Amino acid sequence: MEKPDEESFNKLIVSNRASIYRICRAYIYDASLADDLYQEILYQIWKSIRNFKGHAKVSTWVYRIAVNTAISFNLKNKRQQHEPLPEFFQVAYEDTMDEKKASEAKLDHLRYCINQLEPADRLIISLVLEDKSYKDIAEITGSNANLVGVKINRIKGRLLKLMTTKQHYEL
Amino acid sequence: MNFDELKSSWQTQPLNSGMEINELKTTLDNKWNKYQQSLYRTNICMTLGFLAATIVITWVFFAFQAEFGLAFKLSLASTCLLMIVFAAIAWRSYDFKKDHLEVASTDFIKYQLQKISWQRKVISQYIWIYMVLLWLAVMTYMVEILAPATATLRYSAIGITTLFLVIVAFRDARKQKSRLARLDDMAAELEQQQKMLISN
Repeated sequence: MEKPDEESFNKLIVSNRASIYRICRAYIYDASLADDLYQEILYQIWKSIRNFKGHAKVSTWVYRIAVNTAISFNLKNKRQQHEPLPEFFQVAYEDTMDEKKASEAKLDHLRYCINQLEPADRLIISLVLEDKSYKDIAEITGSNANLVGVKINRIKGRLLKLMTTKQHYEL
Repeated sequence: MNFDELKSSWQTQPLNSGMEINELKTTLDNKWNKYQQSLYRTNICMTLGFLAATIVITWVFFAFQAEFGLAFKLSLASTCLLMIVFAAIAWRSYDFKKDHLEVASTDFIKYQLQKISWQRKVISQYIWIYMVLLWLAVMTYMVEILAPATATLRYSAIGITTLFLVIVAFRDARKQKSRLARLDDMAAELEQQQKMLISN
Protein backbone atom coordinates (compact mmCIF):
# COMPACT_ATOMS: atom_id res chain seq x y z
CA MET A 1 0.00 0.00 0.00
CA GLU A 2 1.58 3.30 -1.04
CA LYS A 3 1.84 6.23 1.31
CA PRO A 4 -0.77 8.99 0.87
CA ASP A 5 0.12 12.14 -1.05
CA GLU A 6 1.37 14.57 1.58
CA GLU A 7 0.96 17.72 -0.51
CA SER A 8 -2.73 17.08 -1.30
CA PHE A 9 -3.31 16.24 2.34
CA ASN A 10 -1.67 19.51 3.48
CA LYS A 11 -3.84 21.54 1.11
CA LEU A 12 -6.99 19.84 2.27
CA ILE A 13 -6.16 20.27 5.92
CA VAL A 14 -5.17 23.91 5.63
CA SER A 15 -8.48 24.81 4.00
CA ASN A 16 -10.74 22.56 6.07
CA ARG A 17 -9.23 22.01 9.49
CA ALA A 18 -11.20 24.75 11.24
CA SER A 19 -14.52 23.45 9.86
CA ILE A 20 -13.62 19.87 10.76
CA TYR A 21 -12.70 20.92 14.26
CA ARG A 22 -15.98 22.81 14.70
CA ILE A 23 -17.93 19.77 13.51
CA CYS A 24 -16.16 17.74 16.19
CA ARG A 25 -17.00 20.30 18.84
CA ALA A 26 -20.63 20.33 17.72
CA TYR A 27 -20.89 16.58 17.77
CA ILE A 28 -18.95 15.83 20.96
CA TYR A 29 -19.30 18.12 23.94
CA ASP A 30 -16.22 16.87 25.79
CA ALA A 31 -13.22 18.83 24.48
CA SER A 32 -10.64 16.05 24.83
CA LEU A 33 -12.92 13.55 23.08
CA ALA A 34 -13.60 16.11 20.36
CA ASP A 35 -9.81 16.34 19.94
CA ASP A 36 -9.64 12.56 19.55
CA LEU A 37 -12.40 12.66 16.96
CA TYR A 38 -10.62 15.49 15.13
CA GLN A 39 -7.46 13.42 14.87
CA GLU A 40 -9.42 10.35 13.81
CA ILE A 41 -11.06 12.34 11.01
CA LEU A 42 -7.68 13.65 9.81
CA TYR A 43 -6.36 10.09 9.92
CA GLN A 44 -9.29 8.82 7.86
CA ILE A 45 -8.78 11.63 5.32
CA TRP A 46 -5.07 10.72 5.23
CA LYS A 47 -5.98 7.08 4.58
CA SER A 48 -8.67 7.80 1.99
CA ILE A 49 -7.01 10.59 0.02
CA ARG A 50 -5.59 8.26 -2.64
CA ASN A 51 -9.09 6.91 -3.31
CA PHE A 52 -10.60 10.31 -4.05
CA LYS A 53 -12.03 9.89 -7.55
CA GLY A 54 -13.44 13.38 -8.02
CA HIS A 55 -17.04 12.15 -8.31
CA ALA A 56 -18.07 14.67 -5.65
CA LYS A 57 -16.74 18.14 -4.74
CA VAL A 58 -13.62 18.01 -2.56
CA SER A 59 -15.47 19.75 0.27
CA THR A 60 -18.38 17.26 0.05
CA TRP A 61 -15.86 14.40 0.15
CA VAL A 62 -14.13 15.88 3.22
CA TYR A 63 -17.41 16.53 5.03
CA ARG A 64 -18.69 13.04 4.26
CA ILE A 65 -15.56 11.52 5.80
CA ALA A 66 -15.86 13.85 8.79
CA VAL A 67 -19.54 13.12 9.38
CA ASN A 68 -19.23 9.34 8.87
CA THR A 69 -16.18 9.14 11.13
CA ALA A 70 -18.17 11.04 13.75
CA ILE A 71 -21.02 8.50 13.47
CA SER A 72 -18.55 5.66 13.92
CA PHE A 73 -16.75 7.43 16.78
CA ASN A 74 -20.04 8.09 18.53
CA LEU A 75 -20.86 4.39 18.63
CA LYS A 76 -17.59 3.68 20.40
CA ASN A 77 -17.98 6.52 22.91
CA LYS A 78 -21.65 6.44 23.78
CA ARG A 79 -21.09 6.91 27.49
CA GLN A 80 -19.75 10.41 26.91
CA GLN A 81 -23.01 11.81 25.60
CA HIS A 82 -25.41 14.12 27.35
CA GLU A 83 -23.12 15.18 30.14
CA PRO A 84 -24.70 17.28 32.86
CA LEU A 85 -24.64 21.01 32.44
CA PRO A 86 -21.29 22.23 33.76
CA GLU A 87 -21.37 24.09 37.04
CA PHE A 88 -20.06 27.11 35.19
CA PHE A 89 -23.50 27.58 33.63
CA GLN A 90 -25.34 27.39 36.92
CA VAL A 91 -23.81 30.59 38.25
CA ALA A 92 -25.34 33.90 37.34
CA TYR A 93 -23.53 36.06 34.87
CA GLU A 94 -21.37 38.62 36.61
CA ASP A 95 -20.50 42.06 35.31
CA THR A 96 -16.89 41.36 36.17
CA MET A 97 -16.71 38.58 33.60
CA ASP A 98 -14.61 39.92 30.74
CA GLU A 99 -15.73 39.83 27.14
CA LYS A 100 -13.56 36.87 26.19
CA LYS A 101 -14.86 34.77 29.03
CA ALA A 102 -18.43 35.75 28.20
CA SER A 103 -17.95 34.81 24.59
CA GLU A 104 -16.42 31.45 25.53
CA ALA A 105 -19.26 30.84 27.97
CA LYS A 106 -21.77 31.59 25.22
CA LEU A 107 -20.01 29.18 22.89
CA ASP A 108 -19.87 26.49 25.55
CA HIS A 109 -23.56 26.97 26.20
CA LEU A 110 -24.24 26.57 22.47
CA ARG A 111 -22.11 23.39 22.39
CA TYR A 112 -23.98 22.05 25.36
CA CYS A 113 -27.36 22.72 23.76
CA ILE A 114 -26.23 21.13 20.48
CA ASN A 115 -25.19 18.11 22.52
CA GLN A 116 -28.76 17.78 23.78
CA LEU A 117 -29.96 17.14 20.23
CA GLU A 118 -30.20 13.66 18.75
CA PRO A 119 -26.93 12.49 17.08
CA ALA A 120 -28.32 12.78 13.52
CA ASP A 121 -29.62 16.30 14.26
CA ARG A 122 -26.24 17.25 15.72
CA LEU A 123 -24.56 16.31 12.46
CA ILE A 124 -27.02 18.29 10.37
CA ILE A 125 -26.84 21.39 12.55
CA SER A 126 -23.03 21.28 12.51
CA LEU A 127 -23.21 21.48 8.71
CA VAL A 128 -25.75 24.32 8.86
CA LEU A 129 -23.43 26.21 11.21
CA GLU A 130 -20.69 25.77 8.58
CA ASP A 131 -22.95 27.57 6.09
CA LYS A 132 -23.45 24.52 3.91
CA SER A 133 -26.32 24.77 1.43
CA TYR A 134 -29.37 22.49 1.70
CA LYS A 135 -28.19 20.70 -1.44
CA ASP A 136 -24.72 20.09 0.05
CA ILE A 137 -26.20 18.86 3.33
CA ALA A 138 -28.47 16.45 1.44
CA GLU A 139 -25.45 15.18 -0.54
CA ILE A 140 -23.28 14.75 2.54
CA THR A 141 -25.85 13.05 4.74
CA GLY A 142 -27.88 11.26 2.08
CA SER A 143 -31.09 12.93 3.30
CA ASN A 144 -33.88 13.65 0.88
CA ALA A 145 -33.08 17.02 -0.76
CA ASN A 146 -36.76 18.04 -0.73
CA LEU A 147 -37.15 17.35 2.99
CA VAL A 148 -33.85 18.69 4.26
CA GLY A 149 -35.10 22.29 4.53
CA VAL A 150 -38.05 21.26 6.73
CA LYS A 151 -35.75 19.16 8.86
CA ILE A 152 -33.23 21.99 9.30
CA ASN A 153 -35.94 24.44 10.34
CA ARG A 154 -37.17 21.95 12.93
CA ILE A 155 -33.65 21.45 14.32
CA LYS A 156 -32.96 25.20 14.38
CA GLY A 157 -36.19 25.75 16.28
CA ARG A 158 -35.33 23.05 18.79
CA LEU A 159 -31.83 24.47 19.27
CA LEU A 160 -33.06 28.02 19.82
CA LYS A 161 -35.62 26.70 22.31
CA LEU A 162 -32.89 24.80 24.16
CA MET A 163 -30.71 27.91 24.18
CA THR A 164 -33.54 29.86 25.80
CA THR A 165 -34.84 27.28 28.25
CA LYS A 166 -31.43 26.09 29.40
CA GLN A 167 -30.14 29.61 29.83
CA HIS A 168 -29.75 30.21 33.54
CA TYR A 169 -28.03 33.48 33.01
CA GLU A 170 -28.33 36.51 30.79
CA LEU A 171 -25.50 36.92 28.34
CA MET B 1 -31.15 35.75 20.01
CA ASN B 2 -31.47 34.51 16.44
CA PHE B 3 -29.82 31.72 14.52
CA ASP B 4 -27.55 33.95 12.42
CA GLU B 5 -26.02 35.38 15.61
CA LEU B 6 -25.37 31.86 16.83
CA LYS B 7 -23.81 30.93 13.52
CA SER B 8 -21.45 33.90 13.43
CA SER B 9 -20.40 33.31 17.03
CA TRP B 10 -19.89 29.61 16.23
CA GLN B 11 -17.65 30.33 13.25
CA THR B 12 -15.38 32.65 15.18
CA GLN B 13 -14.41 30.04 17.75
CA PRO B 14 -10.69 29.31 17.90
CA LEU B 15 -9.21 26.02 16.79
CA ASN B 16 -7.91 24.48 19.99
CA SER B 17 -6.94 21.05 18.81
CA GLY B 18 -3.93 21.03 21.11
CA MET B 19 -1.72 19.71 18.36
CA GLU B 20 0.53 21.46 15.86
CA ILE B 21 0.33 20.43 12.22
CA ASN B 22 3.86 18.94 12.19
CA GLU B 23 3.19 16.97 15.34
CA LEU B 24 -0.07 15.83 13.78
CA LYS B 25 1.67 14.62 10.63
CA THR B 26 4.10 12.58 12.71
CA THR B 27 1.21 11.01 14.61
CA LEU B 28 -0.61 10.19 11.36
CA ASP B 29 2.56 8.75 9.87
CA ASN B 30 3.09 6.52 12.91
CA LYS B 31 -0.55 5.43 12.89
CA TRP B 32 -0.37 4.74 9.15
CA ASN B 33 2.80 2.65 9.55
CA LYS B 34 1.28 0.69 12.44
CA TYR B 35 -1.83 0.06 10.34
CA GLN B 36 0.25 -1.20 7.41
CA GLN B 37 2.40 -3.40 9.67
CA SER B 38 -0.64 -4.92 11.33
CA LEU B 39 -2.23 -5.72 7.93
CA TYR B 40 1.06 -7.15 6.72
CA ARG B 41 1.49 -9.32 9.83
CA THR B 42 -2.08 -10.64 9.71
CA ASN B 43 -1.84 -11.51 6.01
CA ILE B 44 1.56 -13.17 6.30
CA CYS B 45 0.57 -15.21 9.37
CA MET B 46 -2.66 -16.39 7.80
CA THR B 47 -0.99 -17.31 4.49
CA LEU B 48 1.86 -19.19 6.20
CA GLY B 49 -0.53 -20.97 8.55
CA PHE B 50 -2.78 -22.26 5.79
CA LEU B 51 0.16 -23.18 3.60
CA ALA B 52 1.78 -25.21 6.38
CA ALA B 53 -1.51 -26.93 7.27
CA THR B 54 -2.21 -27.83 3.64
CA ILE B 55 1.28 -29.31 3.21
CA VAL B 56 0.98 -31.37 6.39
CA ILE B 57 -2.55 -32.63 5.59
CA THR B 58 -1.54 -33.60 2.05
CA TRP B 59 1.51 -35.42 3.36
CA VAL B 60 -0.52 -37.22 6.05
CA PHE B 61 -3.17 -38.24 3.52
CA PHE B 62 -0.71 -39.79 1.06
CA ALA B 63 1.53 -41.30 3.72
CA PHE B 64 -1.18 -43.05 5.74
CA GLN B 65 -4.21 -43.52 3.49
CA ALA B 66 -3.49 -47.22 3.00
CA GLU B 67 -3.27 -47.85 6.76
CA PHE B 68 -6.47 -46.12 7.80
CA GLY B 69 -10.11 -46.28 6.80
CA LEU B 70 -13.03 -43.98 6.07
CA ALA B 71 -12.97 -42.20 9.44
CA PHE B 72 -9.42 -41.05 8.80
CA LYS B 73 -10.35 -39.64 5.41
CA LEU B 74 -13.44 -37.99 6.92
CA SER B 75 -11.23 -36.41 9.56
CA LEU B 76 -8.93 -34.90 6.96
CA ALA B 77 -11.89 -33.75 4.90
CA SER B 78 -13.45 -32.08 7.96
CA THR B 79 -10.14 -30.37 8.75
CA CYS B 80 -9.92 -29.02 5.20
CA LEU B 81 -13.54 -27.86 5.35
CA LEU B 82 -12.78 -26.25 8.69
CA MET B 83 -9.94 -24.30 7.12
CA ILE B 84 -12.11 -23.22 4.21
CA VAL B 85 -14.88 -22.03 6.58
CA PHE B 86 -12.31 -20.23 8.71
CA ALA B 87 -10.69 -18.58 5.68
CA ALA B 88 -14.05 -17.53 4.27
CA ILE B 89 -15.10 -15.95 7.58
CA ALA B 90 -11.70 -14.29 8.03
CA TRP B 91 -11.61 -12.81 4.53
CA ARG B 92 -15.21 -11.64 4.66
CA SER B 93 -14.50 -9.97 8.02
CA TYR B 94 -11.33 -8.50 6.57
CA ASP B 95 -13.33 -7.01 3.71
CA PHE B 96 -15.63 -5.36 6.26
CA LYS B 97 -12.63 -3.58 7.77
CA LYS B 98 -12.76 -1.16 4.86
CA ASP B 99 -15.06 1.57 6.06
CA HIS B 100 -16.12 3.40 2.84
CA LEU B 101 -16.30 6.73 4.63
CA GLU B 102 -16.58 8.82 1.46
CA VAL B 103 -20.21 7.86 0.78
CA ALA B 104 -23.33 9.71 1.98
CA SER B 105 -24.11 9.09 5.66
CA THR B 106 -27.28 7.11 4.98
CA ASP B 107 -25.25 4.71 2.79
CA PHE B 108 -22.48 4.60 5.39
CA ILE B 109 -25.00 3.68 8.09
CA LYS B 110 -26.52 1.02 5.82
CA TYR B 111 -23.05 -0.47 5.36
CA GLN B 112 -22.38 -0.36 9.11
CA LEU B 113 -25.68 -2.17 9.71
CA GLN B 114 -24.64 -4.89 7.23
CA LYS B 115 -21.32 -5.14 9.05
CA ILE B 116 -23.08 -5.54 12.40
CA SER B 117 -25.43 -8.12 10.90
CA TRP B 118 -22.38 -10.05 9.61
CA GLN B 119 -20.68 -9.88 13.02
CA ARG B 120 -23.93 -11.09 14.58
CA LYS B 121 -24.08 -14.04 12.20
CA VAL B 122 -20.42 -14.93 12.86
CA ILE B 123 -21.03 -14.93 16.61
CA SER B 124 -24.41 -16.62 16.67
CA GLN B 125 -24.26 -19.05 13.71
CA TYR B 126 -20.91 -19.55 11.98
CA ILE B 127 -19.01 -20.12 15.18
CA TRP B 128 -21.28 -23.14 15.87
CA ILE B 129 -20.68 -24.55 12.38
CA TYR B 130 -16.98 -24.14 13.11
CA MET B 131 -17.33 -25.96 16.45
CA VAL B 132 -19.29 -28.86 14.90
CA LEU B 133 -16.70 -29.26 12.13
CA LEU B 134 -13.91 -29.14 14.69
CA TRP B 135 -15.67 -31.79 16.78
CA LEU B 136 -16.22 -33.96 13.69
CA ALA B 137 -12.57 -33.66 12.64
CA VAL B 138 -11.29 -34.56 16.10
CA MET B 139 -13.80 -37.40 16.63
CA THR B 140 -13.23 -39.15 13.31
CA TYR B 141 -9.50 -38.87 13.85
CA MET B 142 -9.79 -40.39 17.34
CA VAL B 143 -12.08 -43.19 16.19
CA GLU B 144 -9.49 -44.18 13.60
CA ILE B 145 -6.43 -43.79 15.81
CA LEU B 146 -8.04 -45.58 18.78
CA ALA B 147 -9.54 -48.41 16.77
CA PRO B 148 -7.09 -51.00 18.16
CA ALA B 149 -7.56 -49.77 21.78
CA THR B 150 -10.11 -51.10 24.28
CA ALA B 151 -13.68 -49.82 24.14
CA THR B 152 -13.29 -48.19 27.58
CA LEU B 153 -10.25 -46.18 26.47
CA ARG B 154 -11.86 -45.25 23.17
CA TYR B 155 -15.13 -44.03 24.71
CA SER B 156 -13.35 -42.28 27.59
CA ALA B 157 -11.13 -40.36 25.18
CA ILE B 158 -14.09 -39.42 23.00
CA GLY B 159 -16.14 -38.45 26.07
CA ILE B 160 -13.42 -36.29 27.62
CA THR B 161 -12.66 -34.51 24.33
CA THR B 162 -16.38 -33.89 23.68
CA LEU B 163 -16.83 -32.60 27.23
CA PHE B 164 -13.87 -30.26 26.75
CA LEU B 165 -15.35 -28.87 23.51
CA VAL B 166 -18.78 -28.48 25.14
CA ILE B 167 -17.22 -26.53 28.04
CA VAL B 168 -15.34 -24.28 25.60
CA ALA B 169 -18.54 -23.73 23.57
CA PHE B 170 -20.57 -23.01 26.70
CA ARG B 171 -17.99 -20.50 27.98
CA ASP B 172 -17.93 -18.77 24.57
CA ALA B 173 -21.73 -18.69 24.44
CA ARG B 174 -21.80 -16.73 27.70
CA LYS B 175 -19.33 -14.19 26.33
CA GLN B 176 -21.28 -14.00 23.10
CA LYS B 177 -24.42 -12.96 24.92
CA SER B 178 -22.90 -9.66 26.01
CA ARG B 179 -21.29 -9.10 22.61
CA LEU B 180 -24.63 -9.71 20.91
CA ALA B 181 -26.34 -7.26 23.26
CA ARG B 182 -23.71 -4.64 22.41
CA LEU B 183 -24.15 -5.23 18.68
CA ASP B 184 -27.94 -4.98 19.00
CA ASP B 185 -27.55 -1.75 20.90
CA MET B 186 -25.30 -0.31 18.17
CA ALA B 187 -27.65 -1.47 15.42
CA ALA B 188 -30.63 0.15 17.18
CA GLU B 189 -28.79 3.45 17.45
CA LEU B 190 -27.71 3.37 13.80
CA GLU B 191 -31.23 2.51 12.67
CA GLN B 192 -32.55 5.44 14.67
CA GLN B 193 -30.01 7.80 13.05
CA GLN B 194 -30.82 6.39 9.61
CA LYS B 195 -34.50 6.97 10.22
CA MET B 196 -33.90 10.54 11.37
CA LEU B 197 -31.76 11.34 8.34
CA ILE B 198 -34.26 9.93 5.88
CA SER B 199 -37.47 11.29 7.40
CA ASN B 200 -38.21 14.95 7.98
